[in-house]
This record gives sequence, structure tokens and C-alpha cells, in this order.
Amino acid sequence: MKTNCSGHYLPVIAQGIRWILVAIFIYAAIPKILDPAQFAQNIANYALVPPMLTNALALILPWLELIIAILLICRLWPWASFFILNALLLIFLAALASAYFRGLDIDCGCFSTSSTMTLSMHWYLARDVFFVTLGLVGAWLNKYAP
Amino acid sequence: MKRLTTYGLQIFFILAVSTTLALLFNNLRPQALSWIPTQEDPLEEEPREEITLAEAAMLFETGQAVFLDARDNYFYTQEHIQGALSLPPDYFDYEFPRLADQLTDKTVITYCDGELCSLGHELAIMLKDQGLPEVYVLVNGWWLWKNENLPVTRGAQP
Repeated sequence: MKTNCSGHYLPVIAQGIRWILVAIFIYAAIPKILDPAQFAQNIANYALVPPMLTNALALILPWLELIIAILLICRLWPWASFFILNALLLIFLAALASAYFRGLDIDCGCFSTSSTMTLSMHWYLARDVFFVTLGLVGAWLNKYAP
Repeated sequence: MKRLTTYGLQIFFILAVSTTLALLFNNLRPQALSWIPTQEDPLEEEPREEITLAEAAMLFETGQAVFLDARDNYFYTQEHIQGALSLPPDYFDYEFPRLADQLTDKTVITYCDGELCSLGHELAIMLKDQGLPEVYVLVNGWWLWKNENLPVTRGAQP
């Protein structure tokens, strides 16, 4: 049905974006699964979540990320996975932005659980905006996925 | 409508599976993290000995205390409290033996940057575990110190 040649490339792009998102989510999930106590501390640093909930979030979120990555690999339930994926990315971005505007000096805790990273907040923000863009484009292109 | 219900159920199922896995895996862990934070958490375990800027400045003037910079070494090199030593908690095991001589039987003040930075407290707990008698935390120390234009220096650890 496609009359323009770009239609051929969309499945390839959709596939590529999905694999990038899979890599990001697995890379983000593993260190947090291995060290939930440190991740809980990172969540607490944002001063957004009631202290009662930080440990529970630190335990569940990494597994959620991993399950989403696995579902994306298996191409199972793509709409539900992309919905949760984008919800997570948007929440992370909002949390980071709020910390930034409150002038909080926090380590993002997205990938590493070390609290002594020296990269700047601007880089974290730019990276998260890029991830959200990938997530949304990935969800939109999902209908073209082979 | 039916499709929305299906997606809703799928999302619920994904969340349920994640929670179950988190529960199972956490219980298998030798040191399981409590789901609701309790007083047993490492950071809450020890009483926190905090010190005010005025007290810290007085101890600095009289040379009675050793200041320990808990921030990453990168920030220490950029600028630190005059005479402070760099000891980030992440490198404690490696760095402490080298500094131990300068710390024994001294009053020690740890500091970090930011009200919420926990590195000062982490370092204080580690120092107490090593048997140092007087360890204090100057919360948000770097910011407070700079704000009062108290003496600072640049450069790496001597």
C-alpha cells in the first residue's frame, strides 16, 4: 500500500530503536537488582518519594525494567510494554528535572549505583530527553515493526 | 473498549510479575532489604554526631580537628577546606590505611556538599568502625564553608 520508498525502512528503524531500548533497560536494571540498598539511597536523594516507599520502589523498579526489556525482545504485548516503558522514562525525566530546578546536587542513579559520579546534571537531562524521544518514537513506529 | 481492557490487564500482569520477582529475589538475598525502611538500615544504625559550622570553624582556627572531604576526589582537587584530607567512602578501604597515622586520637570532622549528601555520614560511620573516638559530621559542610568565605585551597592530596 505504501507509495513512498521510506516505508521500506520503517520496520528496520523500528527494530533498531527497540533493540537500543532493550539494551538501555537491561543495562539500567542489572546493577540496581544487585544492589537495591544503594538504589534506595539514590531514590531517597531525590527527596520526592515518601521514605516509607523508597525500599519497595528500589526493589520493584529494576525488575519492571528487566521484564519490559524481555517483553520487547520477545515482541510480546508490545503496546503494554511500550506504555510502561514510556511511563517510566517520563517519570525518571520529571524526577530529574524537578531535582535540577530545586538545585539538588544528586547523582542520577540511573545506570550506576555509585554516588560519586562526576558527570553534570545537564548531561543527565539531555540523556533522559533522548531516551524519552527514543521511547515515544519506538512506540509510534511499533505498528511498522516486522 | 475491549482492547483497552486487554492492555490494562497486560499492564497489571507485568506489574504483578515484577513485584513477585522482586519479592522472591529479595528473600533469596543473604541480606534482604526490608520492604519498609526500619531503624535497622545501615545509615540509621549509628547515632549521628553532627556539628555546627561555628563549632567546626572554631576547631579549625585552633587546629584541633582534622577535616575529611567525603566528596569524590575530583571535587577535592578542584577546591577543598584548607588542610582537609580526601577520603571518599568508596575508596575507604584503599585510602584509610595511608591516612590512619594522621587521624589516630584526633577529632575528625567529615563533610560533603549539599543537605542531602549522605557521604559525610557514611564516612563517619566507617571511621567509628575503625575505632576513632571523636568523629563529627558537618552537614552540607562544603557549601556552608564556602558561603562564609572560610579558608580553602586547591590541588590534589599531598
